Amino acid sequence: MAEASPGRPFPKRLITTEDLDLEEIRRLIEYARDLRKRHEQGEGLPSQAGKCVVLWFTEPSTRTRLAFASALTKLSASFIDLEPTASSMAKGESIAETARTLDALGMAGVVMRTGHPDGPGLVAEHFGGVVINAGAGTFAHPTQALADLAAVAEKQEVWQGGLRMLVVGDIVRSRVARSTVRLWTRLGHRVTLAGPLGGLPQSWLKSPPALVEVTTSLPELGQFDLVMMLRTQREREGIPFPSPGEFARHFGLTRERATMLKGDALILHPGPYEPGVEIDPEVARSQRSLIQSQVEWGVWVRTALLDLMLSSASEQGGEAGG
Amino acid sequence: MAELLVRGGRIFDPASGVDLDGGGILIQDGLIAKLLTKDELSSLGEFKGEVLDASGKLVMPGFIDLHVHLRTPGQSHKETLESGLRAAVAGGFTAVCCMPNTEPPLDRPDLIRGLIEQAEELGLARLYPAACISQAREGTRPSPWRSLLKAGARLFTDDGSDTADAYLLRTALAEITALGGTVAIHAEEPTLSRGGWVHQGPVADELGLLGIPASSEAVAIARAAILALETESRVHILHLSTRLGLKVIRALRSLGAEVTTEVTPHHLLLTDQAVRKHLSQAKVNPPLRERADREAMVEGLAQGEIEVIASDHAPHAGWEKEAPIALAPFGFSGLETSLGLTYQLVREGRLSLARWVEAQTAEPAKLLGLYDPEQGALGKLAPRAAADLTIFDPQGEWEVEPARFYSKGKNTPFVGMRLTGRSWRVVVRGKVIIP
Repeated sequence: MAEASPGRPFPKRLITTEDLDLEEIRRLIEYARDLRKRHEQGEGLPSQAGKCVVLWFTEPSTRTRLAFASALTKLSASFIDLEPTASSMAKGESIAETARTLDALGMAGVVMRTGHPDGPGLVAEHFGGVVINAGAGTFAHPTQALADLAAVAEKQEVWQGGLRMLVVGDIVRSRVARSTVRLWTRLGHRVTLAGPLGGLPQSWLKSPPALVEVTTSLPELGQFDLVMMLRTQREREGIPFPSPGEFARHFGLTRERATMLKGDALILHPGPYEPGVEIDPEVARSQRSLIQSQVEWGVWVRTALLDLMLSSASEQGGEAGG
Repeated sequence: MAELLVRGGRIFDPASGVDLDGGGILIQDGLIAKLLTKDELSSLGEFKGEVLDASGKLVMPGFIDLHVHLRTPGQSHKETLESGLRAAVAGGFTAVCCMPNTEPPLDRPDLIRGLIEQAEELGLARLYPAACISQAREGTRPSPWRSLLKAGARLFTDDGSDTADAYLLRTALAEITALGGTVAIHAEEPTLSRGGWVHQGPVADELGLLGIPASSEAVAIARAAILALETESRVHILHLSTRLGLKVIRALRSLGAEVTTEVTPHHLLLTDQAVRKHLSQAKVNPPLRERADREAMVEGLAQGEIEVIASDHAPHAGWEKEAPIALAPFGFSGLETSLGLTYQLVREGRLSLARWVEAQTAEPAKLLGLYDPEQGALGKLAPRAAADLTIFDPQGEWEVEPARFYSKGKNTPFVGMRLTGRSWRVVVRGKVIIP
C-alpha cells in the first residue's frame, strides 16, 4: 500500500494530468483508497493544520469547490475563498499580480477554477506554493479525470490498458474530455469521441491523437467498457451545435440505448447533467452509473492529492516558476 | 565634392543588377553620386571626406519595413516614435511604414503631416505613415483620401482589422489606385475568426484554445482580390500566413487580378507549436500556422509569389503580454530581430540572397511609389538614388535579448535564439545613423 511517506517527493503543480508520471498517478489513487478506508474504519487522517489554501474560483462550481473544501477540512487545513468580485481583481488586478500577492501573503496553495485555459499555468509562474488546476477554460480538468479513474478502478482493472471508452457530446468545449483523453490514452486505453461535427475538435477528424477515434455518429454501444456522457457547454463560445432535442434524439443515452451496453459496462458523467438531454435520469441513477461514485472519489482523490502536494511542497520550499 | 565614401564589402542590389565585390559608393548631398568597381576604387586617390570601411560586409540599398506599429499617437506605453525609429535603425532599416491603428487612428491629414515632421526632426529612419481607408477605422465611411495623399500618405489600410464594408473597400481600391496610392488589407473575415486567439489546428484542439481557421484569411483575400479585379485596381495583402491564402492569390492572379503580398519573419520561421511554450507571447494576428503553411510561405517568398518581407513589429508593454492568452493583445516586437531571423533562410539555402534583398528594398519601395523617381529613389543602388544603405554583417553572431531592444516592446517568442548575421550600420540620407 502506497503511503505519503515523508521524503518521497510529489509534484507541487497539477496543471494537467501530465504533471504526474504514471507511478505518481497510481500512488495517488492508491493513497486516496487508503485514506478513504482509514476514514471508514474511524482512523485518523493526516494533518495539514496551519496551512492555508486559497480557493480561487472565477467560474461557478458545486462539486469541485465543495470537494476541495471538504478535502481541506478533512486535512485540518484552512482555506479562503478568493472571490473576484469582492477582491482587487474587480479593480482590474491581473492574474499574475494577484498570484504574486498570494505568494507574498505566504499561502500554501492555490486551487484555481477559471475560464482561462492558461490561468493555472500563469499562477504557477508567479506563485511558489502548491497550484492545482480545478478546471481551466476548455483546456484541462485534471482532478476530475483522476477522480473518474479512481471510481472506475474500484470496479475494473485500469492499470493494464486495453479498455474501450466512449465519450459522447460537446467535446471541443469540454476540459473534462481533453483531460480524459490525455489520461486514459496514457494508460493504454482506447478512447472514441462521438458527437455532432460542430462539437468535435476539427483537426482530430483527420488526424486524431494516438489511441483516439473520432466519429460523427453514435457508434455501436456494445463494444465499450466505459461510456462517458458530457453536458453541452452552452455558456462557452458559440459553435454550431444542435438543439437539446436534436442532440438527445441522435446521441442521448436513453433507457433504450442503455440496454445495448455490455453487461459490465460503466456509465460516467462529470456532472452536472441535463436530464433527458445527454442522459436519461433513470440511466443516470442506474446500477452501472458511476455518477455518485465519481463525486465521492472526487473528495478522496483531492484529499490525497492535497496531502501529498502540501507535504512535499513544505519540504521542497517554495519558488515561483517551478 | 563627395562627403562619404563607403568602401570594401560586397555592394549588392540584385534588382538593379549591381554586384561589386570590394567596390565603393560615393555619396553627396544625401544621394548616391557614383558606384565604384574595385578598380575604380583603387584609382580614386586620396579621399577628403568621411570613409566607412565595410570590408567583409554586405552593402545593400536601405531596407524598408513596410509594416510596423509605432503606436503614435496615443499609446506611448507601448512605443514612441523615437523608440520605434531607433529600433528600426538598430534592426537595419532605413525606412518604415507605420500602420494607422493608433489612438486616434491616422485618418486626418494633420496627423500624417505631424508624424512625418516629427520623424524628420528625429533624423533616424525615414517614416512613411499609412492612413486609414475608413474614418476611425470603423469600416463604414471613407477617410479623406485625397487630402491624406497630399499630406504624404502612400499606403492606405485599416490594418488591425479588415475594412468591414465591401462597397467602401471597392471604392477605395478604385479611387486610391487611380490617385497613385496603394490599398493594403488585413485579410480577416471576422465571422470566421470569431474572436479566436491562435490558429485553428492540432495545437488549438489539444490545448482547448479558440482557433482562427485558415479560411478566415483566404475568404478575405478572395473578397479584396475580386474587388480589385472588377475595378481594375491593385491590392496589397498584408502579412499572408496560410497556404490556402496563397492558393487564392494564385487563382485570382490567374484571372487577372493585380495582387501583391508580404510575409513576416514569424510566419516564415515559427508554427503554432510555438504556442505550447510561449502562449500569450506567441499570440499574434494572423496566428502562427501549421508546418505546411510555413513551408508554403518560404517557398512562395523564394519563388517571388510573395513579394515583400515585413516585420509587423507590434510592441506592447510587458504587463499587457503577461495576461492570459484570451486577454493578451496580438503581436510582438519585430524590428530588431527581422533581418537576423530571415537571414537564416538564406544561410540554409532556402532563400536566395537576391530575393532576401529585393523583398526588403525594391519591392516595398515600389509599393510606396518611391522606386521610380529620377532623383532620391529608395530601394536601389544607382546614381541619384537616395543614399540610404543597409550594411549587414553576414558573420555576426548574436543572441535575441529583448532586454537590450531599443523598442519599448520587449516581448518576442524568439527570445534566447542564437543567430548568425546582423545589421552592422545604416546610412540614411548619406549619413551613418547610430541608434
